[in-house]
Amino acid sequence: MLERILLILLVVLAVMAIRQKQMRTAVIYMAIYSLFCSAIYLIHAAPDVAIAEAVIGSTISTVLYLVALKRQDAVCLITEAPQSRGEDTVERRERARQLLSAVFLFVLASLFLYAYHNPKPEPIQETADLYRRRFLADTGAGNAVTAIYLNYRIFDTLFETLTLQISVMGVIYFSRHKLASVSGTLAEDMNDKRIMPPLVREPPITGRIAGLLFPLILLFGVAIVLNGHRTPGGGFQGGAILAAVLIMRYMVLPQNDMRIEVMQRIEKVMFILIVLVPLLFLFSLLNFTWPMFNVPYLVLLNSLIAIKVCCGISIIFLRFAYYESR
Amino acid sequence: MSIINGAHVSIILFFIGLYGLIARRQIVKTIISIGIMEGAVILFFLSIGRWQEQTPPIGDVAVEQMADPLPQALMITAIVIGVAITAATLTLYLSLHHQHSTTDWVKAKLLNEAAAMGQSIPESGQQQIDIELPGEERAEKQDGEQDDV
Repeated sequence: MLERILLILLVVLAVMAIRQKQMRTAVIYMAIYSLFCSAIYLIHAAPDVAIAEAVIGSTISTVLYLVALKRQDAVCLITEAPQSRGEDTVERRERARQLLSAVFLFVLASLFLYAYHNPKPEPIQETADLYRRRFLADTGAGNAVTAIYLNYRIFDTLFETLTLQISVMGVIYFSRHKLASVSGTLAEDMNDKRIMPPLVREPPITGRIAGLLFPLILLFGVAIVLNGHRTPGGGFQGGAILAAVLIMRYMVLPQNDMRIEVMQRIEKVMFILIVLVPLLFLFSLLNFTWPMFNVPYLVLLNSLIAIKVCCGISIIFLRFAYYESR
Repeated sequence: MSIINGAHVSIILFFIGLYGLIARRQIVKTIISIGIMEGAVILFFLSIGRWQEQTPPIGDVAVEQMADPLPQALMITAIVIGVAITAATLTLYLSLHHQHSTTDWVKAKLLNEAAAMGQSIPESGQQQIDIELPGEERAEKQDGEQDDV
């Protein structure tokens, strides 16, 4: 019952997020959509995915959206009003276009739903059974999801961290592009220590509360990382929580004393280590000769991934805040 | 099994996101639509393997009770790549906004065409740039886009 209510609310929230004219409100709808998604993943027996969605999809994405939209005047720039000239024709054509695409997509969605049921799909059991029966003996992990993404399918994780790395590089490049003409070279741009305008208006209250919350969130993040092989969680989720601590600190105390260059270097070193550790341990089949090192390997790799994800997300956020405050 | 289940809702959500991608002219709306489609895809992957009540694949549970761990591991990857996509697209949007002061696909397209025709565009315009075209010409542009749909 709860699941059905949440699923219906999910559809309602998606429609509201798309129909909303004010961008900031749309972003908040999007955050609630992500949070409900997370609850539904939990009902679908996927606590790892639920934590990842709650931390990364619902929190960090929303912060990035809000920082990106911070400068823009909420009223005049962000409305979807058509232009002044020939308003009637343009508006009518716009309506017709929207109606046409809505009808087209409705037909397409009906076709998809029909195709999904004819013939009725049967679950594939072989791979699922293989993983479910053997993960504890093979990898020593109590959490089958961790066993898969750190042992059976390590390539996925390697390319995922590479994708995050590329994204960080893209953010740095594109946020530098315009600044190069203003402030000169990249080095100057990176070492700029000016204090940014605060993102939060009322530092005393938020500062006090954040001070109380810091150690708790930090502890939570570290626990998620270190227990990732036995309980829901892992490197990606824990790293995102640690990055959230840094983002919170920046919002309360907007100083640019976190050196992006250093963090970038740490991230690159971590990426090399993340590639090297499985290469030495898994691909040389040491995990079969020395099975007692399986659990230390999982904890080590989870910690490395956490540091890398923390650095990556923090760099993205700092570049956003820096770029947007110019 | 009821009609309202994860797989059905995720297909509907995917098409809602696709509608937002096609019909909205705001760039931020496009990014939000991509986010909605992403959530729908994740929900689809998690729900297709689920035929009865299942327990999370953690610890010592009976194999028949345990949910399939493979889609879950893949979907954690999808979520992390999703935030990477959001960050990259938002940076592109910001740089476009700083350069042209527009938040609109149609206007950005017109500005690009104007630039291609050799008109000068103010480089760091904080002020709104108004492109005014006669009604007929705009209508033609809308026509062209309709064919794309």
